[in-house]
Amino acid sequence: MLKKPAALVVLDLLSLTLVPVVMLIIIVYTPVEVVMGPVQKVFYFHISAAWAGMVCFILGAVGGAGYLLTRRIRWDWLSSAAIEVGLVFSIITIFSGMIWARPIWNTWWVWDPRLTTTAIMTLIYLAYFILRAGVSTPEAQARLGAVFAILAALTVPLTFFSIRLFRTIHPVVIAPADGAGGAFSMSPRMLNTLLISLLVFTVLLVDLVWRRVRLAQFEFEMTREVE
Amino acid sequence: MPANTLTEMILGFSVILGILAIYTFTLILRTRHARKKLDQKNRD
Repeated sequence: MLKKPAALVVLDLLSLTLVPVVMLIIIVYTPVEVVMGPVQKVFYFHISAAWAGMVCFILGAVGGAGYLLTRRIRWDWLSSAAIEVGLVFSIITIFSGMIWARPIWNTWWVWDPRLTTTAIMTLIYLAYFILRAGVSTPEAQARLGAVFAILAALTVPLTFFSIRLFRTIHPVVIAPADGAGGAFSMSPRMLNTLLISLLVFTVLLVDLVWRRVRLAQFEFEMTREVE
Repeated sequence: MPANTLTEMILGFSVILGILAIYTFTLILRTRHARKKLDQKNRD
């Protein structure tokens, strides 16, 4: 039987502990931004979710390339697991961004390059699962999924650099703190919180991807025994 | 003076943590279900 690895138990515990801790840091330790007010605090999870989503999609492409090179199904488990988790993080990014935008831009949504490319990226990865569901054999699913995962990963740099390539109202977060690119200046406490939040979401993404890989493994073992 | 956006902050965190919680919960349920089915097959 497939036993739960001790490292995964540790990751589960870390995720369960660290997410409330970083939440507490955001509420108590981090100062309120002078113009936007408390809603700016959503920023720490918004950025972290965007980061986690993009890392997952890159991981999905790595898994896809690994499958095409080796034809080992484990790479496909990694690829599909990472993309599923990445999709969840992307949806979080979009919704948290909309909630942040409502009081600041006075609208839930604008067809700004960053928002548009993020929406396109998310829809493309949603199509990944529609494509997989439309293919009957696991080998064909893995092969098509791998090619799709690699091609879809092109949307990740496009989304990341969209605010640098096009005129946009979305702030450039990774920029000098002089207001260039629409960035708001971050105090050391804000920056510390952002870095902690990024780290916690990285732990969370590893945990979730690993859990999803285990599920793929169970499903594979089930179908193998049926055959 | 900062804008009064406390409601939006609460809504934002609720959505973020809500989506994460729902996904984690479904992942646990799916894993449990698959594991149970696999155990059953191993016994048969």
